[in-house]
Amino acid sequence: MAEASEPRQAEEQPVREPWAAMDMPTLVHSHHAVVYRYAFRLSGNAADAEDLSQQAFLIAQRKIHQLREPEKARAWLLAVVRSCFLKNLRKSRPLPAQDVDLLVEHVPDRTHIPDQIDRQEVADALDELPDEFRLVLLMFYFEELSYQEIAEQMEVPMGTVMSRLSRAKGHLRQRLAPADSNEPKVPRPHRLKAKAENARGADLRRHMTP
Amino acid sequence: MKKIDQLREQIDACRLDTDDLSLPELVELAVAVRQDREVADELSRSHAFDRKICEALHDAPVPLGLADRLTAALQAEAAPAVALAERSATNECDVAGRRRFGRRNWWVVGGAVALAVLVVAFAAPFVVRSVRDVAQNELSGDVAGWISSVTANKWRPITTMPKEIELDSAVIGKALQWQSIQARDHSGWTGEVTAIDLRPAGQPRAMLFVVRSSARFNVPPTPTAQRRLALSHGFAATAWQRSGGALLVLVVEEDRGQRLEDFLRRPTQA
Repeated sequence: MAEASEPRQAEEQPVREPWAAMDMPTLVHSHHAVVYRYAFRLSGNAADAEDLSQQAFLIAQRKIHQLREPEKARAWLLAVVRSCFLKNLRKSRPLPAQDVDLLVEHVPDRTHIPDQIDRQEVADALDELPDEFRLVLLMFYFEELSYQEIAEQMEVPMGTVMSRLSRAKGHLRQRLAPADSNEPKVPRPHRLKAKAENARGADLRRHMTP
Repeated sequence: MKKIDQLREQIDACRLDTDDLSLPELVELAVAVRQDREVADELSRSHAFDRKICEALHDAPVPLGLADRLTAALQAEAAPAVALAERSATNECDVAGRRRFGRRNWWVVGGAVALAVLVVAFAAPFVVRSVRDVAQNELSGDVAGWISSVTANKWRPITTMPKEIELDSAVIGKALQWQSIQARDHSGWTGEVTAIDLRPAGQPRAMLFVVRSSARFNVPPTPTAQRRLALSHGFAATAWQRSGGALLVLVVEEDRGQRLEDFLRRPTQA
């Protein structure tokens, strides 16, 4: 990721009138960063993230009349990003009919709170997750949805969502456990049973890269 | 520790800074947090971990110029995208996927836009010297831009509005506040645009735009709710220009119940 970056929306921006906040240039200006970041975490690379962002805004442009409350624009756009991601994913290969078995061994009993989180380590840990687990995790962290809302959106039982979320978080805890933790860091190739089957994102990247 | 293991899924499902503990599936956790210090501490650690992960996930560099490229793509794709949407309303992502530009096309579009801007900037002084006739569709585009330029924190008391800006006697409604619109994207004409708010904040909006310009606008000399500008997103607007006077554009939030008719006197009333 050697690309130049924009500041994280630190600049003071004019307060838009509610009725004026739903035009596309304003939506793009206000939300392109979070849309891109969500797309980046979903797809796993910058090129696909930009394509996914563009797809999402094109859909948003057609459906902007559905957005009645400007304060919900962020959540609405993130849902569009997720929808596009899933459609691309399904097109590239069918989702498995049954739950992928994510082996999370040696997860620390107590949650360790690292002073500094290595961004690359987080990205790697995310990359190792099967799609179903990563998606639930990102819906939780990015869209800030509850397990109930995730279950409704994904049309899966709440218990499944809670299980996937917990296992995905367990994987992160395991990967980000400090080196001096009593819990051994398991070599990566043995962490995820589903990893080899999943080859996460590879098909998607091939599909989306022009 | 065993208790924590048993409650792990509930702990992980409980979002920070929410009242998730009141959710039915987390009732066991809610009880345990009240009764067991160890569980409460683990939930607290889990939330601290969530905060750190959330920060890390949101910390991804955004490519420079992304917003500009997205905006250019939206403008370039607007017409074909609408046509495609009408053809296949249920297949949006697929259509968008086929129609989306590649990154190489971004540069082509960007270059074309930049070239067009240069040409317009160079030629504009020669063109604008003559009086510009502005068609209704051009004006509609301009009005859409003004609407999006209205800024909530720039309203000023109506008592401070320059006296040369006048409401038309055909308009019903009390001017409450005003602001100048920074409208740089007029369709080839120059002028000053002032927005006058006719409804208190929080209510469906009604607004009068007063435009002082040397351009000639292809609009009627008196207002009529029947002759409307083509606006989207639930707005209704009508424009008129009295002889030698300013262009006036009345805009209301029609989808929230405002009607143009309610803000215009009938000809016999005016």
